[in-house]
Amino acid sequence: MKIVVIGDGKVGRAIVEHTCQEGHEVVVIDNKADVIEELVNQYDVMGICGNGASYEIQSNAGVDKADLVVAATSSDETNVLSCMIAKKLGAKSTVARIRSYEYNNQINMMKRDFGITMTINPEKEASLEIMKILNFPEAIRVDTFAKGNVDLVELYIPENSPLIGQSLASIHQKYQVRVLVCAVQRNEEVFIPTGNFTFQAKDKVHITASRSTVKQFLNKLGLIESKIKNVLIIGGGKIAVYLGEQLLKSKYQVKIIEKNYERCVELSQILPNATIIHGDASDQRVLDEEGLTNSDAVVCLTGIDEENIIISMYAYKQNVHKIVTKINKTSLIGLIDSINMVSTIAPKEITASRIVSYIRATNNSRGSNVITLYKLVNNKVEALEFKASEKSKVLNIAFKNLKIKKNILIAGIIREGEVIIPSGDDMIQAGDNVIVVTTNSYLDDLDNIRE
Amino acid sequence: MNYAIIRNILGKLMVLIAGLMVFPLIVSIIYQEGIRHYLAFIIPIILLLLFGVLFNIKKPKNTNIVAREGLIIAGVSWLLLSLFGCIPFMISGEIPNFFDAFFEIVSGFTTTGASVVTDVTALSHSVLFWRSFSHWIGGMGVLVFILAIIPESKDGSSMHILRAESPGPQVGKLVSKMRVTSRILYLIYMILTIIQFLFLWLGPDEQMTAFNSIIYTLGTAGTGGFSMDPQSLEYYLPYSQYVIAIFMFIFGVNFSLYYLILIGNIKEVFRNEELKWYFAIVVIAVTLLCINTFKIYDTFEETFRHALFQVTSIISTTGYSSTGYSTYEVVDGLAKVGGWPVFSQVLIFIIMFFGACAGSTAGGLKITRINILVKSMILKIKNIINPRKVEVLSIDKRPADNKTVEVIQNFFVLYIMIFLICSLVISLDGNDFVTNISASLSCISNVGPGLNAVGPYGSYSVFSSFSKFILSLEMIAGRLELFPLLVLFSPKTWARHN
Repeated sequence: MKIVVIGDGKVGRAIVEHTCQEGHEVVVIDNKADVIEELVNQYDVMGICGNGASYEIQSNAGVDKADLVVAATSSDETNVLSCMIAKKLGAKSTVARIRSYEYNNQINMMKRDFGITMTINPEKEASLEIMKILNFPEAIRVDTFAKGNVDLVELYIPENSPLIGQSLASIHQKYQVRVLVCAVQRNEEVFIPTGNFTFQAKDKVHITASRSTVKQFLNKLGLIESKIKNVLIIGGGKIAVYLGEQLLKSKYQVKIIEKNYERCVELSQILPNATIIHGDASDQRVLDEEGLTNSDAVVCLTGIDEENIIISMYAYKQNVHKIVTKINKTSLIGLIDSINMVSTIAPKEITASRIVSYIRATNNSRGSNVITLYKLVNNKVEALEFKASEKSKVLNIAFKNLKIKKNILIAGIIREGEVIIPSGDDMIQAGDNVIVVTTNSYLDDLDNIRE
Repeated sequence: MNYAIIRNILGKLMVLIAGLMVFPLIVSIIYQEGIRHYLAFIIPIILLLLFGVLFNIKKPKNTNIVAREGLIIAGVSWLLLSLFGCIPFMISGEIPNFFDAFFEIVSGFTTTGASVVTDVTALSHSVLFWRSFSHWIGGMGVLVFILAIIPESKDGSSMHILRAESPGPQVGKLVSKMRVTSRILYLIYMILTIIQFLFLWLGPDEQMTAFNSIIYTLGTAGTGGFSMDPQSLEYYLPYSQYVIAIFMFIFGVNFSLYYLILIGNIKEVFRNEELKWYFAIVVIAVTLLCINTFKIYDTFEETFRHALFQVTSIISTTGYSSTGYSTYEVVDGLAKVGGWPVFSQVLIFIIMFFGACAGSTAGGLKITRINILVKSMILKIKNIINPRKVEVLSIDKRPADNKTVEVIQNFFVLYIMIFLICSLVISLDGNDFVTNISASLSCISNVGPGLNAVGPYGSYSVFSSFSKFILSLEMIAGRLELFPLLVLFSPKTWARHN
């Protein structure tokens, strides 16, 4: 597939990294020569220096033959213009990053009238992701499949957990709930568990089940935590606005600490029901005065990764139950990973995996389509949801007779709204949504799970 | 330093050379040259396969290549290539001395075409073929070939290797995938080579047998210049001379322009300044030579033909000749005085500096560098006259950044320094001034013939083994555009912490 990426910023770079690894033909346009130079040295892509919204530069980049054009410059207007020009030149589909709060309500109109196939708003996506975590405080991370029917939940196994030393089969006998562990992070290692897997202290496990089953499971383990009522947001950027809006809609109490006074005024206009505090959150006194200790959840969204990490560490020390922190530099995630129970959010990675899932879905328009894709544990594991087509070659074969590749796990089947945790006698039927978890990358067809 | 990936690529290189040596072995078998000649190729093939496979057993975990490793890979590869490449010459007994054999094969791979062999007619077919084939291999580059065949690395780009081996200040890709780029380049190279071969072989020239056509085509395509006749192309028909002259010009053009023509982007080709300069320099030099030498030849056609042939041969750094232009030549052991007027010889000497376009198989400074140097000089003068004037240096109507210009200026200084130092060192042998200077320039520019003793009909056998070795290194430095070889000899490169 030929992909043209306009704008080599954080999001652009993440998209280049993922698409390049999957072997697509990638051309990148950016107006800074040194950025392009560095990019070309690092990845096997073609770099073009110039204005991405220029007709000439786009024709040079071969946009007319491109299957996908992604406009991810820092300016929404440039992105829209770039996509319009790309469409005129003959690009098959276009994706624009549009993240201004002001344009949020006219997205559909813009998509329809300007010929943009898909718009993506990393900040809004990130806020949705945070929302999921706040709604499910027991989990480090929550991903949903099948329109929210199935959860993929990351849990931390504390040292006093009753699960330690137990296998999945014994848990099923003891608690009468069927959950499936589909990926385990133990120390630095990531693996997909086999039948003889047992839980160990400090494991981070990803389990799949329907939401009610997961809640039931946690309940029986005594892990249920009280619902979050008030949220302290540190840093009043774009994500904070989207998040604040959703939280207020769901009747949470929201307090936002922001350094810049003008921004504070703006925020209080956009979110009249939130408490806006003007102050420097890297100052411990400010945090204490604003009641960090009494908050149910703290969300760190300042523009500086290091500041977010330090505030999270402080919040952890003050026994805040739920901490979510935004980290842009993926390399820093390792730092905070050592503090268990802290959830990290990387907006650019969320955006990149959205686009990768879109690419895989369009790349394979004949077979069983990828509907959703999540990258877990520092991109080492992928969880994908496929729609099983009628032509698929894996239909109606019981799993015990189906030879499945190593490192691939069928984590769930959704049939007519019902979630099936697969056992040896189950089989995939046409029209099912199938959730596959794998450490092998680049799975784009359900048929490829076969040996 | 990622030694694993360096070892891995060198291993692949050795297997590749082994594969390429099969061709001269086939030639040897066709002409039934006897067991000694077969062994001359079979022994290095076995050695190369052995080392190559050994180096490749362990796969590197990290396939990322940084700039320094790219330079080292290029430098070491070319040294290895030459060390193994000279074995057939020694075993076959046709060039028994190691320094001679090393010089000869370096001259081959770097597409120089300077020879230490005094009587080429005595060489066997397989050795002649291997010599000329090395031009063809070295012309486009061995690492480019490897890039075309190795599976693409998942995490990282091999751009640094391409950049270290390819001639020219700015090396870019034609398409976004490195492998596809290398393949396109090689495909264009092969097609042009085949076209030239057909022109020569099917032409009216009786002397151009299939074998002769192959030898001269390989020499032209790589812009090398190893010949199989003591008097180069002097006694071939004008038809063959014209064909070769035109193809020497063609192989001196940036190959990415051929790709642009293939995809129908003619506009961009006409925008290319380097091509215009290249064409202009050839036209001017031919005109000047015609004016200066018309008294020597009988007809205008002959004057023009020799002027054109010599200019295209020297500027593309090939080194074939259609006439003896040097002041004195050693023909059949006898000194022959004559040749072209001094003006013409100096002109030849100057265009030796230029070389052809970046991204071609030619050597030399490259016209795009000359272009930028001249422009930056003009800009500097204008700046002195009117210090507040702001003007930007642009190439192909696009502004060039200061860093590029600076790198080119440094490159030029380094080029001149290496050329001068080598001239000084080789002059210890006691040859005359013009011989030393022209030999050194000819080697660093990968041209081949110089003037006087090393003129088109002469040979480098006048130099001592030590000088030959210095000149060999100079040729590699010139072919790889100085830096890869300098990096190899810098102690900082190998330091553990830097």
